[in-house]
Amino acid sequence: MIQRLIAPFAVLVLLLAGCAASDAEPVPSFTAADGVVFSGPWAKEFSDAYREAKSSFVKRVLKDGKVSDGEFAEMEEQFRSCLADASVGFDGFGFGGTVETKNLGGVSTEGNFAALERCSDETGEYPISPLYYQPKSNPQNLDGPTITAECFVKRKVVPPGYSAKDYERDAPGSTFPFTDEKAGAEALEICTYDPLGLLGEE
Amino acid sequence: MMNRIAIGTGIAATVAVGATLLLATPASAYTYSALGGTVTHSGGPSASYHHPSQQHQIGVGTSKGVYRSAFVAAGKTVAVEVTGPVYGPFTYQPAVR
Repeated sequence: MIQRLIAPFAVLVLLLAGCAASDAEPVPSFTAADGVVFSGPWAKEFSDAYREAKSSFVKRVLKDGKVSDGEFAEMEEQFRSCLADASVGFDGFGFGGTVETKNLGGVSTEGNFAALERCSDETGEYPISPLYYQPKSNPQNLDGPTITAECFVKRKVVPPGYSAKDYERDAPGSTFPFTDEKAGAEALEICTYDPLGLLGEE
Repeated sequence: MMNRIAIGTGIAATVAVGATLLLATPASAYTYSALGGTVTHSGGPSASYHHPSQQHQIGVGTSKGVYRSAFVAAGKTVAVEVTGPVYGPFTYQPAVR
């Protein structure tokens, strides 16, 4: 008789325990080919980039799952030096990782574009730059369309109620329903690079 | 945020961080290429680039230099906008990773 009473109770306890466990946010974890384990909200991005990296410098930078200010500065200096060797002027990264360069010494704009691509590859600007700025601007790796739509609403450039679904519909054709074109263009840039306002460059 | 940076030396070419170019001579040509994503052009010297599945960016080149957006995550739209008269011809170059 007692067993009959205890058995359903035990099942209930187990079920509740299971529910409690599933309520906890799982910590994503990814293991790269050589056994390096990445965990946290950006684990997949770091793991993918680490796996694809050919340079020992990039692997060293990514290995601990974050890009420090010092590591970013090291890459920036290499990027600057590479571009200078190609007669392309560069004064450092701008908001969110933007780049502005000058044609120096007779280099053409096409040559400038080509140098940018080559130097990005050679110095690890990609993936180091996005893996420096994107986790800084979105530490929990929240859904991009959701926080970008919320940023638009907060800036009052779209009607209240504008949602992630609306953003996903409008983004491919850049048909955002901005109520003011100039404010919308500014919001598009800010909300793209820094939707939560964490970069502190505004 | 709205600091301005000169493109080229001693010219009236400025870029508002936000990819807004204020240049000095009318553009005469635009070229676009989409590498698997969508480049949009709204009739003026501005463009945006969207890619559904890869990190991407877009650059705009003038006779004086290049402004390149940051990389943005898949599914996001990144835009460059040229306002006012511009040094031309200039080109847009999208890229994916």
